[in-house]
Amino acid sequence: MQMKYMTAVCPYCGTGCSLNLVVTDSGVVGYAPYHRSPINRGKLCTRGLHAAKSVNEFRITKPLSKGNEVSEDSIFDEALKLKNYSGDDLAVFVSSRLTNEAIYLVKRFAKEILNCENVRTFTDAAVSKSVVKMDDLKKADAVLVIDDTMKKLPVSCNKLFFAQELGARIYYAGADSYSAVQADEAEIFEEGKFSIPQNFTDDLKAAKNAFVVCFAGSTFAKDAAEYAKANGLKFAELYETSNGRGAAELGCMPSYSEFKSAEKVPKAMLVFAECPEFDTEIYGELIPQFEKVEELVVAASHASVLTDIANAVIPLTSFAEYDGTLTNWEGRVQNLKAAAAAPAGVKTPYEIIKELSAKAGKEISFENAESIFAELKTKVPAYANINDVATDGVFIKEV
Amino acid sequence: MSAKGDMFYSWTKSDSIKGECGGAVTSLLQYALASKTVDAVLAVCKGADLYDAKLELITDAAEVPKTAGSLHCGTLLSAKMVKKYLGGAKDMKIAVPVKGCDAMAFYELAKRNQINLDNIILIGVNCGGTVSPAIAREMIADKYETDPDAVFKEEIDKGQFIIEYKDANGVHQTRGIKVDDLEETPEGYGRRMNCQRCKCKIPRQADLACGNWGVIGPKAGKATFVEVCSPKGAALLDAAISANAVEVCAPDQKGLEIRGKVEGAMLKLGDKNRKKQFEKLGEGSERLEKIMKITSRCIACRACIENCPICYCVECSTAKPHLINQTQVPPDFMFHLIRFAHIADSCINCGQCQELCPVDIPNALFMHAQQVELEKMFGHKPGYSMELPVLAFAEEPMERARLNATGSDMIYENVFGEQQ
Repeated sequence: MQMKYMTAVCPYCGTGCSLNLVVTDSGVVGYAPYHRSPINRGKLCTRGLHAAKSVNEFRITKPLSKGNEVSEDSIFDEALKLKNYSGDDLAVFVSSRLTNEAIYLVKRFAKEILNCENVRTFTDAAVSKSVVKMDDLKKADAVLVIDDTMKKLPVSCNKLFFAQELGARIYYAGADSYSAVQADEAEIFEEGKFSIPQNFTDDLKAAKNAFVVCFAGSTFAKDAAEYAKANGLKFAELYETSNGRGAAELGCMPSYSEFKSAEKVPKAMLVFAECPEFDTEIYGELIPQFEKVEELVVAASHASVLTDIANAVIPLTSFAEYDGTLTNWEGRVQNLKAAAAAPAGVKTPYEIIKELSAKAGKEISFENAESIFAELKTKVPAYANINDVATDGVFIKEV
Repeated sequence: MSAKGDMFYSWTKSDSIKGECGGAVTSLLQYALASKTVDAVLAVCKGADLYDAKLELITDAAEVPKTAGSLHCGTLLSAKMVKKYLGGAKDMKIAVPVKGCDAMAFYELAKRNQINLDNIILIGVNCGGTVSPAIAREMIADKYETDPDAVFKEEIDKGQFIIEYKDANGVHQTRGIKVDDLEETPEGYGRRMNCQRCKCKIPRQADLACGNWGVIGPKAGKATFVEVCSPKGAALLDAAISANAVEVCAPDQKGLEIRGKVEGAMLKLGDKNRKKQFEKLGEGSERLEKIMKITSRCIACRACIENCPICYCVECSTAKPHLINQTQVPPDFMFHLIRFAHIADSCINCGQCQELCPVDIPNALFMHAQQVELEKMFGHKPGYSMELPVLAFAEEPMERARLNATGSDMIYENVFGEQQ
């Protein structure tokens, strides 16, 4: 029997916690804390604790056409039917939990093969790419927390407890919540209207090192960003997906609410789907919209309500089974190495894009994840100066 | 022939082992595997760098030398890993190097029928405390004014945390700062808080207790002090000597005294730190209020339970809706009361419930503070023997039988089912 640890990044929120996957002869069997992570220092919240278990649960291992197993060849043919649609009739969505390399290739595929310029994500975000770093929050002397951010990203926000113990004041504004309980002073929004009491603003402006902190998908994120700007306060926007910042750097449009409330949905959609466990949270409310789509092609690692209704489903490696990079909410890039082998026949997003594009007669070629990142560096200014990605395990150089 | 209580200086006979202080521990592990005394060695290996300690199961004796050397940034809870991922060593024999807390965890899981200690050889290593990797790096940058990546060796010796590094000119430098001074800083540098309170410095509940304390004279730095703590340990040492894997000689008498003094000083310091940390918690209702206030940060993620070497129940009481509302965050204080009631008599102060808490609740401090009081009351000392915990003093076999007969208690069915 063999047992070793492979370091991986938690696939859920944008904090970028890493963990050790315990890998034995039978694959990923569990987790062990990764104390060395400069981000989470071994700590994980509920989701991270379940990340290892999720690798092997509810996997999609065979191509499916309307629920029936088919050959890879025929599923690729079906996927390429998307080429028959154009303009507003076609939309491409990618999970902001896939790697930067995967999102980049999906974007290239959308543009070069499907002639579709916009690639979107099923998230909502405010507007900013935070310049605040996670550890800056430890040095805060006043913080305004908007909405239930401390519960959404607990391992990011534990820095606030550290600051609080050293005397920082935490203010809260939003609905009654976990975060409200943690604050020294809380303003509970009546009827969901954003308003910050004057004494909060006065105190924050008087503090030497004050921050406004809000998770990206909050209905108040835009208000929070504007409030911070208007009062000259530093704003930290905390993405809720493991590569939300990466998707933003790559120019993907956060379109969850827009799609959910759209009167007219595209006739055809390509979706590179989310990782497991929280899929119902994400897709559940979108099902009535998906049902209106006539050609729905989904690439997914795990079964979900979305794959249940898709016309074509292409199996995908899980977060623990392929190489690539992820960017957390503060902009730190971490390097993933495949921890375990994927189920037989299941391919990485890179291989799928390569083969689909080749089948369409215009192969998007590359050598490996590293060479995709090298290409991506030339296109995305945020990554231009990152050189040392080829280390073992996650990219742990402190920023 | 050696026997329990014997003490030696020991060193490796292998050229390929470059362990610290004579490499006896590495050699004993390698011999245990090579001679098929065990099926595997579960040891700490260096991960990405000096600060990254990773557990690895080694089944090829030739690979054992890579486990050499101490990494003070570990604490890896090997016992829980054996329970969770190696079937509790029920079907395989494993040799494991252990610090005091690891050894204690093995006993607590073994007495709960989660690990088969008969299949485990515990090679104890003295431990003056460990440092969290992130803290170590911050502390080295801040207090030593040194690039943490330039450090190639760290150790805790003679009350100092010592680093060796190459300076900007490539010159070898050694620098030590008193652990006491580091631990006084407001940033919380130095050893983990639970290590500061630890009083298991030489793990004699292991089969062998090894370390460099007390090695003086010509053998200083070239031999390991080995104390034989069980017949199993004696057998391994004797066999390793016969096979020419290690060599031993009698320890220096002065060395014995020094070892005793080092241990004594460490225990005194442990007492001092317990007093200091527990006093800050206050007493009576003040303490209760403090605990209630801080635990209201809880997000009910169960990382404390997941990593606790005492917790093993298949169905945790904190997951039962009639005891704890499963959707409320923070959960009611009952969540923590259940943990205190179930664990506090057996807490071994490994510190992991605190270190791994995503919202930084000092769980280990709360739990350990209760354990020392319970020990005073009931005389039960967890982690040192197979003696059952306080809560098991009721007629446990009868109680198990009664619960089993009801056919409804899943914990007992699942955990002890196969014995029926």
